[in-house]
Amino acid sequence: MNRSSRITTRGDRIVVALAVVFVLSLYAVYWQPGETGTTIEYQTPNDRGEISLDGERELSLQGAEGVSHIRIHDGAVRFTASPCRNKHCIHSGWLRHSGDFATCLPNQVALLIHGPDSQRLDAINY
Amino acid sequence: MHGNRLCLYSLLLTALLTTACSSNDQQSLRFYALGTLIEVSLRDAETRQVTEIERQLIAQFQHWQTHWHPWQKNSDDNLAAINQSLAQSGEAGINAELGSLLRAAQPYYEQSNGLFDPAIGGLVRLWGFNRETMPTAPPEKDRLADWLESRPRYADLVIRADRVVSDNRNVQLDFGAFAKGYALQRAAALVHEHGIRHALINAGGDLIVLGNAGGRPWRVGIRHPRSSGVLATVELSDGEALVTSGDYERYFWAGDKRYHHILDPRTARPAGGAIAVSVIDHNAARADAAATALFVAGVQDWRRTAEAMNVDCAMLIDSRGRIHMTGCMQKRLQFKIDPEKGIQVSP
Repeated sequence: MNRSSRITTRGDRIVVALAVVFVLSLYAVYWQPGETGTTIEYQTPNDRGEISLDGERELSLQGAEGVSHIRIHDGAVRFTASPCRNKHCIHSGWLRHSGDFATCLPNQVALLIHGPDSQRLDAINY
Repeated sequence: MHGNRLCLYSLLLTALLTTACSSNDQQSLRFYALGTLIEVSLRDAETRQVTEIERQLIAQFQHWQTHWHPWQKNSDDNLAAINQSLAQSGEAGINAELGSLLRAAQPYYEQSNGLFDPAIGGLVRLWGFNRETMPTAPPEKDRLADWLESRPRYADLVIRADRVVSDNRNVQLDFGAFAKGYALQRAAALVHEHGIRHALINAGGDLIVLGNAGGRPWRVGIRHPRSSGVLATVELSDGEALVTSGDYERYFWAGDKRYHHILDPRTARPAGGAIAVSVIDHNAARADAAATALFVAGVQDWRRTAEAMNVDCAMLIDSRGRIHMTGCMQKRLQFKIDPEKGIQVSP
């Protein structure tokens, strides 16, 4: 087989390799299922995002009436403080499983646990 | 060789475009209205469509919030103004928008034999469930007895083209058991009018879907009534709404007794027997009214009430944790727990 009859050239292979790296980097940046396969989707009046359930962290989320504090521990998350009267969000306790959620309606902050993408729920009815 | 290379580059381009599209094919809007979080997920929508839908939906929900509020007199023709006028003179002028809401609720009141009754606003107020902060004690028995003696009913209300009249001055309207469902149905129509064929609109946990979620049905979890997790999941098809009424939404404790916000017009007290009712229907307004009516009907009468309201898919969880379902609902749900053992009732 001579060189000209090959399906790809060296240049093609470089382009393919670069494209694969680019696609993988896009997944790495924009699709973060978390190392354990579960993530927390958080919503505030001005922001929405997903963070991993891994590790040990305390985070502050700016809401409509103040700051809601959440704690991530041992693969679970909970509200630890929020500027609402009835503290329903704090009483919701630890959220661990896919579909667990808690909302601080007065402060407009919500947490929802997602599992692996194949089990992902589009919404929770309550 | 050129053909092969073209083919290869085409595949690469397709892969890149697929990756790019996958992060943009669903866009979400979020805002607070009607006392809850409204979330709208739009699929395959162009940016200009999303911008216009967001503008119109926020304006519409804010309009409803102002005009449907039963106690805050935000304008001269909102529901609070009508309630005030009904109490004073037994009649009130209504605008076309409120007239539509009042007329839409009428068949469900009749079909449910009054178990869904928007005329119990005075009772809701008596219990204090209209306030942001929950009460600490139930109303005095004498006051509940007085309300029962006067027993305002939606049937007391005569709805004319531009006014309502009632012989019973205790008729006070509160559409808390209907407004979200009615708003969902209207919001879905608005989204559809903009050419969006795939969407999910979620108003504080009650929701309606259009089309699908990108080649698969919309997948929704139904909250466990006694824990923070999901009881069951269900896949919804085009135009279906899912509404749940539960005793966990608004309640208070007085001593060792728990009082929730779903009131039985026949007893003037929180309805007993059920802790949650879920309804799937192609009409979100009917689903909302039915979820309340079936809850009030309780274990004995919920099936009969569902039939009378033309509801096929419904589930009731009773206060002992037992799950009652129609055949339609049984086929739809995938339980995440053992339903017989998984629900425990709090004291």
